Amino acid sequence: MSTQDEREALPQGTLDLLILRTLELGREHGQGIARAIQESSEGVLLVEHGSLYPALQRLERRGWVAAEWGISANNRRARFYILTVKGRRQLEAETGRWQRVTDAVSRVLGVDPAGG
Amino acid sequence: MGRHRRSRVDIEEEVRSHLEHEADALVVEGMTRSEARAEARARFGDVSQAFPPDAWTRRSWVGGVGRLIAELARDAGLALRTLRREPGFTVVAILTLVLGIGLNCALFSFLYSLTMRGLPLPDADRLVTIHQTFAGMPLGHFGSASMKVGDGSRYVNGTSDMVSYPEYLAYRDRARSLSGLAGFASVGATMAGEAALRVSALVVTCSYFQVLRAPVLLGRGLEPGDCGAAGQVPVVVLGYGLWQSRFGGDGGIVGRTIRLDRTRFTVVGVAGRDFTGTGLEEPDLWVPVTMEPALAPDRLRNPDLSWLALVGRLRPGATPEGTATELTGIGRSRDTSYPGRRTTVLVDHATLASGPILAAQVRSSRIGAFSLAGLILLIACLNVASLMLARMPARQRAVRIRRALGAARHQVVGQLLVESLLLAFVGGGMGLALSIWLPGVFARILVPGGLPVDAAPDLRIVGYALGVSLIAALLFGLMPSLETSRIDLASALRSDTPGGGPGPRTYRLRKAVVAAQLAGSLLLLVLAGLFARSFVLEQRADLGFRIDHIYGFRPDLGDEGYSAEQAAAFLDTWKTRVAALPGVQGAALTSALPLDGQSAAVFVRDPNAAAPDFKEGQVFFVYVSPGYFATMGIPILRGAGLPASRPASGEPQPAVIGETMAHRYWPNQEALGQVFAAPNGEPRRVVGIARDAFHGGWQREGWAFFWSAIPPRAFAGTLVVRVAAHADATPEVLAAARQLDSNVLVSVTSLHDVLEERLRPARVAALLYAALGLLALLLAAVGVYGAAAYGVSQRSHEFGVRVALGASRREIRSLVLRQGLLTVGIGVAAGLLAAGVAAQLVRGQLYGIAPLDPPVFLGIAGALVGVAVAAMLKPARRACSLDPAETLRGD
Repeated sequence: MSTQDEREALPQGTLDLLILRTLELGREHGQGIARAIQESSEGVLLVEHGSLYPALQRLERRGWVAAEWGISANNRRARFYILTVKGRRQLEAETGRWQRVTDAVSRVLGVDPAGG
Repeated sequence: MGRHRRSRVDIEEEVRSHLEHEADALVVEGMTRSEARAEARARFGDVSQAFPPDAWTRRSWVGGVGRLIAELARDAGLALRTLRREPGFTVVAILTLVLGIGLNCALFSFLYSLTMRGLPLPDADRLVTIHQTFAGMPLGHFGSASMKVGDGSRYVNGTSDMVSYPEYLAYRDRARSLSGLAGFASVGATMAGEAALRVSALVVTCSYFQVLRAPVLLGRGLEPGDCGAAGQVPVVVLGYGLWQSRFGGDGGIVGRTIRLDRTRFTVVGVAGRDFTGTGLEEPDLWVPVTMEPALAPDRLRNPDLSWLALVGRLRPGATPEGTATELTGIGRSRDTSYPGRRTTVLVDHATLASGPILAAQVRSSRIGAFSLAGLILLIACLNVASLMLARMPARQRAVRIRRALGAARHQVVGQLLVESLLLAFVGGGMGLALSIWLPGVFARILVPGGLPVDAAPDLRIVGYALGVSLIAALLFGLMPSLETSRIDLASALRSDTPGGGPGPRTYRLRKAVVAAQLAGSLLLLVLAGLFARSFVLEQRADLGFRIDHIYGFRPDLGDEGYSAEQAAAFLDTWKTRVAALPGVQGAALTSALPLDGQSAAVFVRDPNAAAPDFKEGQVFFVYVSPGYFATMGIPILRGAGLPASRPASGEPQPAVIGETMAHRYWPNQEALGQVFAAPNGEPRRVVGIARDAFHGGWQREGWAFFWSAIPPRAFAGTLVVRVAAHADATPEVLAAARQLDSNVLVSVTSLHDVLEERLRPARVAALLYAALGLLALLLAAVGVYGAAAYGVSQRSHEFGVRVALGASRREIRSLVLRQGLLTVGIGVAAGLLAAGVAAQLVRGQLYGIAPLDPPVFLGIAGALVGVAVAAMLKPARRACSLDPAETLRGD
C-alpha cells in the first residue's frame, strides 16, 4: 500500500467504503448508488449527489471499481460501476481496520451496526 | 484499468444520466416532471465537483490560485443555498449587520467629509486654510467669553484665530509659496423685495473666485477690479440656491440690481450649482470685501480685529508646512509693533471643517461617537454570533457528515466563514447604502438647516465599509465556525445524544455570548432610559421663567442703518404700542431671548480692581427693560425690579441679580446695594435679587446670572411679548413695527419653539438609544430562549433520570431557571457595571438626574431579568413535560 493511500485512508475511506459496500450487492449506476446510500441511512445522509463522483473516480483510478456504459431499468443510458476483484479484496482487508469508523458512521447514519 | 483520463463529455453524459434517473425516481414519488428536474439538480449540488481538476490546475501556482477561487466559489454557492434555506435567520442577521455596519460607515463618512475630504473644487488638494495664533499678548478686554460672538478684538492668548484686513494684505503680498490667497467673512443682510428676506452674505476678497476656481453658472465671479476703494463697487454674485428660490432661476438676472440693507448691488453673476462656499455655512451670495461697510460695522481699516478667514492655494511644490513657516515669518515681522507678541501661523489642508478649533471639536466628539458606533457593531456581531450558535446543532449534523466524508476541519471552517463573509458583505453593502443617506440626517440633527456634507462614497469610504464588514465577519463568524467544526470524529460520533451534539464547551460559550448580549442591551437601554428621563424632566423643568404664550420679536434695525439711539427710540415706542394691544399681557425688551444666547463676562466685586478673579467664574447677563420680570414671570425676592427712570449720570447702572450670583459674590452679607463691574467696565449696583432663572436652559448649578438695565447709547433688540392664552397678537405686533418703519424686517419665534430646538438633540439621543436598545433586547431574548431551549434538550436525558427518581415538576423547572438565571445575572451585572461607567461619560448631557439614577438602573435591570425569565419559561415547561420513559429510551 502506498503512502498516499495511508494518508487518505481514514476520512475519505468512509465514503469509499459506503460505495464499495453498495456495489457488493451488484452493479449500480451513480444515481443508484446515491439513492442506496441515502435510503440505507434513512434519509439522514443528505449529502449532495455530486460529491459522489470524485470518490467514484478515485476508486476507478485505483482499480477497485470498473465502469461501463449500459442501459438502465428506466431504459436510459447509464454508466454502471462494478466491484473488481481487487476492490473486493480491498473491502475485506480493510473492513477490520475500519470497523471502528464504520461503527461510528453507522451510529451517525442510524444504521444498526450489527445488521451491516 | 489504466490511468486513462475520461473525457469531459463522458463525465457530462454521466451527470446528465444521473439527473434523469433521479428525476425519474422523483416523478414516481409524485412530483411533476419540471419539479423533479429542479429537485434533481438541487440534490446533485454543484455540477463542477463531478469533474476532476485538470492537470495544470493541480500543479502550477496559477492552478493553486485557480483552485482556491474555484473552492471559494463553491463555498459561496453552498453558503448562498444554506442562507436561502433559512430566510428567517438570514434576514435577521443581515438587518442586524446593516444597522451595525451602516451606522459605523455613516459616522465615518460624516466625519471624513467634514475633516478629511477635500473641498469639491478643482485641485482641492492644493487648497489650504490659514489661521494665526498669538502668544505673549497682554490681557485685554474680557467683554465676551465666546470667541464667535465676540466683537473680534483680540483678547485671547494662544487661541487660533482669523486675521484682520491689513494682515490679509501683508500675507497676500509677501507669501511666495501661495499662488493666491483669499479672505472671507460671513455677515447677515436684509434683501429688500415684496417680502424682505434675511440672507447670509459672504464678504470676500476679490481673489476668492480665482483662488478657489469656483464654478460660475452665469456672468462672472468677482474679479480683482471689484475691490476698489471702500464702498465703490457694489456688485454681487448670487448663490445658485438663492437665484432659484428668490429669482426663479431667471436667466436675465445679470445686470439687474438688488437691495441689500440700504445699498443697491448690481448682480454680476450666479455661482455654479454645487458651489456652496468653503465652510459649514452655505452663503446665499458673495460681495466684495470692500463693500463690507455697507453691510456690517466697518472693519476694513482696523489692524487688530480678527474677522477674515483665509483660504489659499499652494504653488506647485509647496507644502503646508513650508507655507506655515513662511507665513509665520511674515507675521513675526509685524510683531515688532506689538511688544511681547509672537505670531504663529497654522496651515491645514482645506476641508469643510478645517482649522484648529473646528478640528479639535470634531476630534473630541469623534472618540465618543466611534465608541458608541463600535459598541453597537459589537452588539450586532454578538447577536449574529448568537444566532449562528443557535443553529449550530442543526449545522453540526451537516458538518459531521462533511467531515466524515473527508472534509478537513479547515475546509469546514472555511466554508462556514465564507457564509459569514457573505452575510457581512451583504450587510455591509446595504450599510454602505444607508451611510449615503445617514450623514445628511446627522447633519440635520446637529444643525437645523443641515450641513453641506458630501457623503457620496469614495474609495476610502468603500474601503472603510469593507474593513468594517471583514472585522464584523471575523467577530461574529470565526468563533461559531470554529465551534461548529470542533468535532473529534471518534468522540463526537460516540456521543450519548442521538446524532451527537456540541459539547459542554460550546454550551458555555453560548451562555457567554448570551450574557454579553444582555450586558450590551442593558447598557444601551440604561443610556436610553437616562436620556429619556432627563428629556422628560427637562421638558417639565421649571426654568424660572414662563414659556407658554411668550413670543420674541427681533427687528433687523442694525441692518437698516439705525444708530443705537435711533434703535432704542424705535424699540421703546414699539414696546409701548404693543403693550397696549388687546390680548397682550406684557411686553418688554431684552438683548437676548432665554435659551437663545446671552453675554457672559468675568466680574469683580470691587469696581476699581485691575484684574478679575477668575476663580469666581463667568457671570452671564442680558440687558432688559423694567417690565421684563413681570412679562416673564420672574419673581423679585428682595429689593425691587429695575427702575423705570435712568440713574443720574455718574451713578452705576441698576441691575437685578440672581440668587446664585448673590451667594457667590456676597456669601455672608447683604447683596442689595453692592456695586460690581467687569474690569475696565461700567459699574453696576444691585437693586434687587430675583429667583434664579435658567436662561441658558440646560445649564444648571453654579450658573450666575444678572439682568442689567439698558445702559445709555445701547439697546436691547428683542421685544418679548406675553399674550393671553388662545390669543394671537403676532399680526398686530408686526403691524405696529411696520407703522414705525415699513422697511424693517421682524423675525418671530415662540419660546416653545426655542425650547423644542434646544431639546431636540436630547430627544434624538433618547430615541436612538431606545431603538437600538430594544432591538438588542429582542435579540438577547431570542438568545436566552435559544440557550435555555438548547440546555434543556442537552439535559433531557438527565431530567428524565431525575423525574424517574422522583423529582417533581417544580424542582425540574427551578433547576432550568436557576441555571439560566446565572447567565442572566452575570450579563446584567456586567451590563450594570458598563452602564455605570458610560453614564459617568454622558453626565454632562443629563438634566435633573444623577448619572447613577436608581430608578433607571434598577427598573431596566428588572425589566431585562423579567424578559429573560419569560424567554426561559417555555423551555422550562418543556423540561417539566418530558416523558422519562421516552428520554431514557433515547439511550
